Amino acid sequence: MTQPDGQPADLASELPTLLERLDAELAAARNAEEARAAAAKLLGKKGALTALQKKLGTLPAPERPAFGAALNQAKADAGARLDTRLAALEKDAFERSLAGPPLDPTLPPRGLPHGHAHPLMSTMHDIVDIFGRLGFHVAEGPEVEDDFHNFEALNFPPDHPARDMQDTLFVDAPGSLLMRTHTSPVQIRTMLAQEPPVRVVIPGAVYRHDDDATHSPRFHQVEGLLVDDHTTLADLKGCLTLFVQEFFGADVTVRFRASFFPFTEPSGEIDCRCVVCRGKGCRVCKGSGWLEILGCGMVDPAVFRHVGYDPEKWQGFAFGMGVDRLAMLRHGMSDIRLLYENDLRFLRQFQ
Amino acid sequence: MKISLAWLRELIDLPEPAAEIAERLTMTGFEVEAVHRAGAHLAGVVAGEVLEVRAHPGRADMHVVVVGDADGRRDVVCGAPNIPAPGGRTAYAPPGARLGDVVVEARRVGGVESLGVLCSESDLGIGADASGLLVLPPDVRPGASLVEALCLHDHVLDVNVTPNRPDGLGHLGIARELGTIFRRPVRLPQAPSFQRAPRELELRVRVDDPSGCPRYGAQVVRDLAVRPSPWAIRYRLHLLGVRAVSNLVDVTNLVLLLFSQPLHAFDLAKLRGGAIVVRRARDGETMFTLDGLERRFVPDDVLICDGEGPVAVAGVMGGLSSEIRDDTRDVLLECAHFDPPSIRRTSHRLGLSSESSYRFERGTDRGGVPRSLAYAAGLMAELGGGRVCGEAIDAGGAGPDPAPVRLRPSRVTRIVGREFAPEEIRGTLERLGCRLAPASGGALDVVAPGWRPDLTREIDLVEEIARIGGYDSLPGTPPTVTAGPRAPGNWERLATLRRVLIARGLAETVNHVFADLPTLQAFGATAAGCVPLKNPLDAGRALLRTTLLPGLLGDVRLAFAHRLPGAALFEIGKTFHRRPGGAPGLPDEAWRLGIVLAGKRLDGLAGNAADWDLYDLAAMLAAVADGSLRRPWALRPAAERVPWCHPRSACLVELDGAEAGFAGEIHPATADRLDVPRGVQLLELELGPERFRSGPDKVRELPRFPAVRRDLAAVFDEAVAAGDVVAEARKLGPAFLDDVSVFDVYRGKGIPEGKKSMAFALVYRHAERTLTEDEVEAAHGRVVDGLVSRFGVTIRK
Ligand SMILES: [Zn+2]
Repeated sequence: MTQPDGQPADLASELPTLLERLDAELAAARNAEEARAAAAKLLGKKGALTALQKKLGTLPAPERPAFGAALNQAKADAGARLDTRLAALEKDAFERSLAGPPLDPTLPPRGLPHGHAHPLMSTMHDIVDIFGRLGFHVAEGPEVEDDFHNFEALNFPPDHPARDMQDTLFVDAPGSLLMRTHTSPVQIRTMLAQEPPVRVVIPGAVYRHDDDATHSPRFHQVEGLLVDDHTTLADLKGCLTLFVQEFFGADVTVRFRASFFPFTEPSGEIDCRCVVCRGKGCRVCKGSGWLEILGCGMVDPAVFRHVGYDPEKWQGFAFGMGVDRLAMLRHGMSDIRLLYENDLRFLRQFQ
Repeated sequence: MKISLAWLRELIDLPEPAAEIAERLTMTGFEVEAVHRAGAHLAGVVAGEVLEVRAHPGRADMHVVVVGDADGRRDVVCGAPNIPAPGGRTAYAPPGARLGDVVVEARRVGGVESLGVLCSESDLGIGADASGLLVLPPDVRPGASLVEALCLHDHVLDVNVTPNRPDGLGHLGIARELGTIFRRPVRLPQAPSFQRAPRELELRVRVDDPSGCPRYGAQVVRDLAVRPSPWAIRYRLHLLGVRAVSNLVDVTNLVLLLFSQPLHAFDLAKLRGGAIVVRRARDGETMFTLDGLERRFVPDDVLICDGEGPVAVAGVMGGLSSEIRDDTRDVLLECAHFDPPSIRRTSHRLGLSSESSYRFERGTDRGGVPRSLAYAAGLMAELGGGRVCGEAIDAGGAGPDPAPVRLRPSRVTRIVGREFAPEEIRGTLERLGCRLAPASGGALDVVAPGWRPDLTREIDLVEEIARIGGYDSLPGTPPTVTAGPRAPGNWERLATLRRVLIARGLAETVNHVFADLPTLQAFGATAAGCVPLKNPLDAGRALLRTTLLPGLLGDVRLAFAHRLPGAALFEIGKTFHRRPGGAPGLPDEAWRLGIVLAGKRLDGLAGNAADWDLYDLAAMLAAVADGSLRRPWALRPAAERVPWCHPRSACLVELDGAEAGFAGEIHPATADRLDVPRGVQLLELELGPERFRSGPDKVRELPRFPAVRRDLAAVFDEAVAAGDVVAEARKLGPAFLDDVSVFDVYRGKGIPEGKKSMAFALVYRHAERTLTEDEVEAAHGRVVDGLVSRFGVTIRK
């Protein structure tokens, strides 16, 4: 079968033209898609080379091998040119993706910023953590207490002036209930609930009938209690000195002096050299050069009797500190009310 | 308690400077809170001689005084009524002198230049008298320093006397303490010597209540003249914060400040019936006290009566009728020892606290009664020019010795943690005034002195030895850590929760727990469920909170008052709830989490800031439930249960199917009533231990076979919740329906009013094999058909 355009020489002569046209279109292609479309004009189902392939059978048998070879070569060339162009385009796109002005990194980040820890709570957690490392477990108790746990069992007898040390908020309910004036009733609850040895740290809110620039009716304490068969006043001094140095820094000077609390005897207080004026005397330390940090002492035998511990067999120490004051010292605050106003402008200063 | 160092130095040798004395007292238990230097504030003030007094040319109420001091003559304008005649002496502050914080300058008064000022006691801050110039004795040299001339130099120590040390409420007690510290003898104060005049009248003293009044001493002093005390006494009282009144009253105050022994002086002429009776009050008995108020007594009160009725509330306050007046001539001095708890009860019940009751309720020295009484009588006779008449009356006497306290030296070491030599123990106790007797096994039997009522047990003596030995001398033994079981409890759980919330962007708050009823009622509380205070700080703080929200909303109000655009806050705290049915015992206390989101959600560019809404609360809840509680959570609409929230957003929070709190936008009416901005998002959650899941997470096997996803979009009624559809799809689907989730909600173009389009992704996956296309098609078809019939929806293609 012979056709006008079916001459093998004519057919083969089309191939370079087709490849040249492909080169031009590939060069013009702006992306991989256009490049593939250009190649498809030759290599696709309806492409020119595919059409020529179909004509292969119409050639005379002797001409077929040569034309077939030329056709295959053209297909391979077209494929290679496409690949080359695709690689170049990909390289271009990659280069372009790296170019251009930088993103503006000074814009605020997306999503909510980190929140704010209340300094009082952070301080309380830090104190508890220090004692946690010294083997003290956390104990907690009710904030509404009865007279027995808050006073009587702690050796504040009825009609005793020691009760004047703590101006009490009373609850209007049967059974002489009150807002606990200290965290010490948790000592009593802990000892009533377990046998020695005891080693607890007691964080919590406490209350007094008091409201001015230096007193808040609600404030916070951390208390501790250690009972075993050998712990002494010297151990107390060592333990609490270590605490103060952990809290304020190892270079702080500590002094241990005698004091009075109804539920400890011997009783004492631990002061540290004023962290504000370094002992020269300032407003914070009221000119004394010392800051009262905590009250402490050996558990009074009367307290042991109230909880059914034999004071001849068991002994130990208790201590308590005001968290508010420590938080204020640590953060350089002078007005306790800031701790309870929750002024966001204040809270935002703490991470 | 104010303590004069000059007075202490009359009682004991104290060459040490004031600061060292203060330091030693502080270390052993009498904390000295401040040391004031008296006289230091009057630098440059001198004694001036009045040389001449002229009328002021322009002011009728003024004079021009020519004053001579060491430097010559100067004109000073003065308006005082008592300018001494020429030759007299007064206090003169020339220009440059200091009167406290003020430096005196020359200035013109009514056209006359005044070179400094002449001063009253009050001007000088050395007394209360402001009525006229301080007139000095004529032998004072003009130009002499006023401080030197009047011996104004002193140090006043502000001593914090703890309730166990009533002896520290007098100078003698502090001197004794210093005697023990410095190992020096104390000189007991000697009363001015006096001759006892014979008794001239019969006065019977009867103590009907020896338990309330174990010792009653009395002394008559006659023919006294009431007049101001000498300058030195008035100045000493002034330094110690006591107003000088008259010689007779000042004597009782001096004895109080010296021996810590309250006295009472009766006008003898006003006592009826020649008798003093100490007895319990009859119920309803009344008397006018010195402050002019009529007091009504109960049988627990101890009264001092004359032959007809009460004349003093024992140990608390005297009666008006027998008060010392300017015309008093004869006095009955009372010096007694009362039962401390009884005095305290009466003082508290009457709301009447005095320097006397303060000391009696802490305990006075029964053995010291005769000495104090004699000292007071002698001084009174001397200052008032009178006579001490007859022997002192002493009802009750010194009483028996207290039982000795057995002290084991081994006990001292065991408690204190250091060895004490036997001589050190004995020496300390003896210097404290204890009497010692050896007992078996190296122990001591110790009888404490009467002025130390706090020393009744072995441990009290251990403390004395430890504190006098000095806590600073103790070795500080580093603690040994004994490992014990340490299961994390409430504290650790809440610590994690708090960190989660802070990391989510919230600010932690700490609020007060006091509230008023209307506020709590706005959040569903009832009066019967609240815990009321008996003595609240004020009416607005009369109840304990039953919810954290009022505090948090107050914080929001403050943030808006400061014009902050938004506030995202939380509090972890307790709420208080009266037991149901008024059951006795402590109220229930519940840990709760409260969250408020107010104003704008400030993340990223402020221009993009949106209002907070329920889905922000849901995000916080998810963070809490997943990051801390480790419980699955759900929100369920419940407008009727949470009426303080907007009915469209009010929800109950469920944790693992159990109700645990609520969430939603504040009801606009509630917001208006509480004066907080509308639109605030609220969440409150109970945090009982059961809310927290403990223990490690268990791992499920990872899927081994591929999943097939089919999406489903349909138009639903607005009332249908996505969660309802998800739940229904799960119910309808086969066991291999692995997951159902909503991924789009659309309202608007193409969707009828009151409807919404929701799109869901359903993921099918079999645990044990690969699903065929046909299986998935069949299962998905059943789900779709089921949803169509359940919700009457039209499927969107
Ligand atoms: Zn300081």
